[in-house]
Amino acid sequence: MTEFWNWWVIIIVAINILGCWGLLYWTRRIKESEEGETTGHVYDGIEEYNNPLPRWWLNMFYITLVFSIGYLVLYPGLGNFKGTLEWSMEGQHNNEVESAKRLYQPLFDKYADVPIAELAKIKQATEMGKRIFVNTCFGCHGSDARGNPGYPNLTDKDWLWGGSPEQLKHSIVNGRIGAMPPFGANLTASQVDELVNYVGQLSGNKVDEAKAAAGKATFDVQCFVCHGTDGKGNTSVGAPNLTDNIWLHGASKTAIADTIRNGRTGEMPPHKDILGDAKSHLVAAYVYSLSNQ
Amino acid sequence: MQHEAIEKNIGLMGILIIIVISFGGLAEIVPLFFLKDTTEPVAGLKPYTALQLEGRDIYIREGCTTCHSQMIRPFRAETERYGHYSVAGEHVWEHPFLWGSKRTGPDLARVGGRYSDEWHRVHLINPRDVVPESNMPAFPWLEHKLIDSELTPEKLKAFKFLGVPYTDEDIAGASAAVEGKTELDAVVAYLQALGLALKDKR
Amino acid sequence: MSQSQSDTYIIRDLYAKPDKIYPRQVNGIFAKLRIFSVLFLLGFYYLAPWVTWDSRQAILLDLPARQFHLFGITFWPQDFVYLTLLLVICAVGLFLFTAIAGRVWCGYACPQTVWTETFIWIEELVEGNRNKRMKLDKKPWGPEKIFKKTTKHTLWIVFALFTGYTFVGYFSPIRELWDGIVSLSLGPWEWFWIGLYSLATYGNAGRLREQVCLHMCPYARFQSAMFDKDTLIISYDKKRGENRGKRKKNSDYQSKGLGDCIDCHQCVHVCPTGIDIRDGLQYECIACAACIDVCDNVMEQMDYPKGLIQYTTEHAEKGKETKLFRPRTLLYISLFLGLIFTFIYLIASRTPLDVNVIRDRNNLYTEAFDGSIENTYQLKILNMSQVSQHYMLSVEGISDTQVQGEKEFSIEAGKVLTLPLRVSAPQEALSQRSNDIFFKITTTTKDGSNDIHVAKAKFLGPKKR
Repeated sequence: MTEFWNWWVIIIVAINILGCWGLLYWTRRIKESEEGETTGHVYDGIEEYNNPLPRWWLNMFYITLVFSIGYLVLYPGLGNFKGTLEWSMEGQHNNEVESAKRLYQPLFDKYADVPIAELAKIKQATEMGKRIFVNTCFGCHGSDARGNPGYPNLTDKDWLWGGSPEQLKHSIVNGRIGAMPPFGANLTASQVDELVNYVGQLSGNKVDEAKAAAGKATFDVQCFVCHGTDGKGNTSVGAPNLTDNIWLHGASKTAIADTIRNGRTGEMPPHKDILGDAKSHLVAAYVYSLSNQ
Repeated sequence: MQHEAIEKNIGLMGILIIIVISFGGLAEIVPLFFLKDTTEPVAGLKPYTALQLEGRDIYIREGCTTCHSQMIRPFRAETERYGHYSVAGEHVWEHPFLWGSKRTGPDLARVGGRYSDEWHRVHLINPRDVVPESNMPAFPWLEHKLIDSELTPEKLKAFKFLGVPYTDEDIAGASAAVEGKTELDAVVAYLQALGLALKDKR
Repeated sequence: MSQSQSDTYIIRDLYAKPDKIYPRQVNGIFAKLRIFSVLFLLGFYYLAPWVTWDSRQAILLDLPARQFHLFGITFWPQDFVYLTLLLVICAVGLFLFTAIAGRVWCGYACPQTVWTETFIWIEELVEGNRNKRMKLDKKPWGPEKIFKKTTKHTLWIVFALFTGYTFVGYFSPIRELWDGIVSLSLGPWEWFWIGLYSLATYGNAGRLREQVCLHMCPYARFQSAMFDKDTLIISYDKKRGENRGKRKKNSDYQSKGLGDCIDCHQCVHVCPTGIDIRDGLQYECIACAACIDVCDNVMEQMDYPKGLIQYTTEHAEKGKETKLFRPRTLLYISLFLGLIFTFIYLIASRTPLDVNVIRDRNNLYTEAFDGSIENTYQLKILNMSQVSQHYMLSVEGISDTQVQGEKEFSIEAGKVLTLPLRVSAPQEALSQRSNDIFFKITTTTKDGSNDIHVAKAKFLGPKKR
C-alpha cells in the first residue's frame, strides 16, 4: 500500500475506535432527575423507560475496545503495519501445511532410502503407496491401475517410458509428454489403411497380407524413427511397442487409422509439487509391485 | 443532541447510519481498488472465450452459485482437496465474481480439466447417473437449447469496457464461435476453463 | 463508575443476591426412597468403569479411535443412528413419566439432585444440622469456623475430583488413567476434562444447587407442557390446613377456627429450593417430597391424620377420579414401547460391517477390446466387529459380470480394507446408461450363520438410443 492508503486506513480505524468510545462515554449514565423517566413509548400498557445500559453490558462494550487495541497490536489492521505476530492468511496456511508435514512426512521418509524394487516387497510400504495412488492417480489410471482409454494400464509389463524403478519414478516425479505427430497430411487414405494392416499384423492379428506388405514400406520410411524398424517402440521417447497387441488409444481399425491421421498426445503431469519425492517413491514402489510380484 | 432528534427523524437517522457503516468499507474495501495484488491478473490468466463466457451466463442463470462456491480458502483441508487457494489476481476479469458463499456441492474454482467433457455432459443431464448419492438438480434442457449468438459480441464488448483484454477479432468472431452450440456445450466449456492459471501449483 | 464519583448520577443495581438456603435433612418414606436412588445411581456411576469384559473395559467410549465399546458390541460413528434412537427413547420416557408422575426425575434421579444430596450429607457431617449451619455462617471467622469450612470444602473437592476422574474413566481406560494421575503423565486433555468435570460437580452440587433448577435447567421450564390434571403433584390440602396457626397439642383448635396446619414452617425449612408449598404448585418445586415426609412426622406428633401435604392430582383434589390411562399417556406408552422394540430389533439385526463403494468418478466407462464395458470401483470395507473376519465378495444386479480383483479377503478387527475392483459386463447385459449394481459381502459368523451386507452402486455404459 502506498503511504496515502496506509494513513487512510490508520486514520479511519483510529476515528472508529475513538468514536465508539466517545459514544459509550456520552450515553453511559443518566441524570438523577431523569430517573424513572419514560421515553413516552407505550405498547399494550407497557412503558419504555429511558434507563442506562446495564453495567455488565456497558463494560463488555469497553472490553471490546480494549480487545481491538490488543488485536491491532498483534495482527495486521493498521495500514502497512504487519502486527507483532506477523500473521497473514498465506502464512497461516503454510504453517498448517508445514505442521502436517512434520507429522506425516517421517512416515514417508522412513522408506525414502529403500530401493524401489525392495520396497515393493514390503507390505506396509505398498499399502501406503496404494492409498496415495487411489487418491491421486485414480482419475486417469483407475483405482485398480488398469488404465483407461488414453491412459496406460500399469499392471502389465508394457511400458511406454520404461518399467525400471528409476524410469517409473522419473515418470511420476517429472511427468511425461508423449506426442505422436499427425500423418494425415503426408499419407494418402490407402497408405493409412495399409499401415493399419501392417501394425495389426505386427501384433499378430489377422489382416490383409498384401496391404500389410505395402504398409511395411511406408512404415520403414515414416514410422521407424520412433517405433523402431521392428515396431517394438522406443521408451526414451515414449513410442509404444506395436507388436504386443496393447492399444492405448483403441484397438479397432478406425481407432488406429485415427491415431495415424490425427496423431495423439498424452500427458502425465509432474507430481513433484503435488506429492513430493518421498510419496512419489512409495507410489513408484506400489506401481512396480503390480507387475513384479 | 437528543436521542429523540435522531430517532424521530428518519432521514437524519438514515444519513447517520450510512456514515457509521461506511467506515468499515472505507478502510477495508476502498484501498483494494488501488492495490496491485487485487487489480492485476496472475500470470497465465486467460480471458474467457466467447463460448466460455456464454457458459458463464448460463451458470449464473441456473443459479449454480447458490450451491457451488468458486473460492478455495487458504486452509490445508481445502488446498489438499481442491488445489492452490484462490487469489485475487485470478478474478480481476470477473464481473461480477462468482465466489459464492454456500457449499451444498463442492467448490468449483479449479474444476477445469478435472473431469472429461463427456463426464460433465452426463452429469449435467442427470447427476445421479454418475454420482448416485448426488442431490444436485438435473439440467436436461441445456442439451436442447441453442445459444443466442446475436448477443455474444455485445457481451464481449461490455467486458472489454470493464477492462478485460478482448481484441477486436475476438469480438468480431464471437458470433461465429458460439453459432450452433448448445447451452450444454457452453457450460461444459466454461467449467473446463475454471482455475487453470494455478492448476499445477500447490 | 462508582456512585461516589458524582451524586447527580445513579447506577442502579440490577441484581439481588439470592438468599442462601439451608435445607434440613428429613426422615421418612420418600427420603428413604431418594437415599436408595442416590446410592444406586452413584454406585453405578462410580463402579461401572471398573467392570471388565473380554479383557477390556466393559464400557469404554474411545473417542480418539472413534470406537465405543459397550460389553460385547463395538459401536462406530456410522452407528450414530442408534444413539439418536436411544436419546429419543429417553426423551419419550421422560415425557411418559412426567405425564404420569410429575417431576419424579427431578426429585429422585437427576444428577443435580443426586450430587447435591451427597454434598449436603457431607455438609451435615461436618457442620451439623440446619440450625448449626445457620449459626456457623453468622459467626465471625474463628478457629472452629475455619476448621469446619476447610474440612467441608476439602471433602467436597476430593469427592468432586474423584467424580471427575471417574467421568474421564469412561473415555480413557480408568486403570491406566489412575497410573497417569499418580505419575503426573496424563495428556493435557485428560487433565482438562478431569478438572472441568470436578469443577462442575463442585460448583453445581456445592455452590449453585437450586439455582441450577431455577434458572439454568430447560426441563424445569418446559415440563409443565407434559402436565395435565391427572399428573401427580405435591400439594398442600388447603381446605384441611387453613386457617393455619399455633396451638397446643390436644387443644380444641377447631373451635378457634383453626385448620390442621400448625404453621411450624418445617415444610419450608426442608425445601431444597426454598419455596413454601402451601402457596400452591410452583415451577420451582422439584417434587422431592421432603415436605411430605416432614409434615407427616409433625402430623404424627400432633396425632392428626397424615397427608396434609401429599402426592395428589388436580382431579383428586377436586374430588374427581384420577385416570392413569388417558389419551396422552396411552400415546406416550405406545411410542415408548414401540421405540424400545425397534431399538432392540435394530441392535439384534445389526451387521458389524460397513461397506462404501466409490466408483471412479472421472471415467464414465471403459470399452474393453472385446467390446465389453468396464467400470472401476474402490470398496472401503470396515470390519466393525471385535475379531478378525474372512469375507467373500460377489456382484449382483447385472448378468454375466466378471470381477478383476480380490474376491476373498480377511480384515482384522477394526481395520479398513481398500479394495480396487474392475467389473466388466457384456454390452447386451446393460439395459440403460446407468445400471444398478450390488456388491454382496458375506461372512460366516461364530454360530455358523451367514452375515450378508449389500452395498449398492451404479454401473455405467454407453448411452442407449
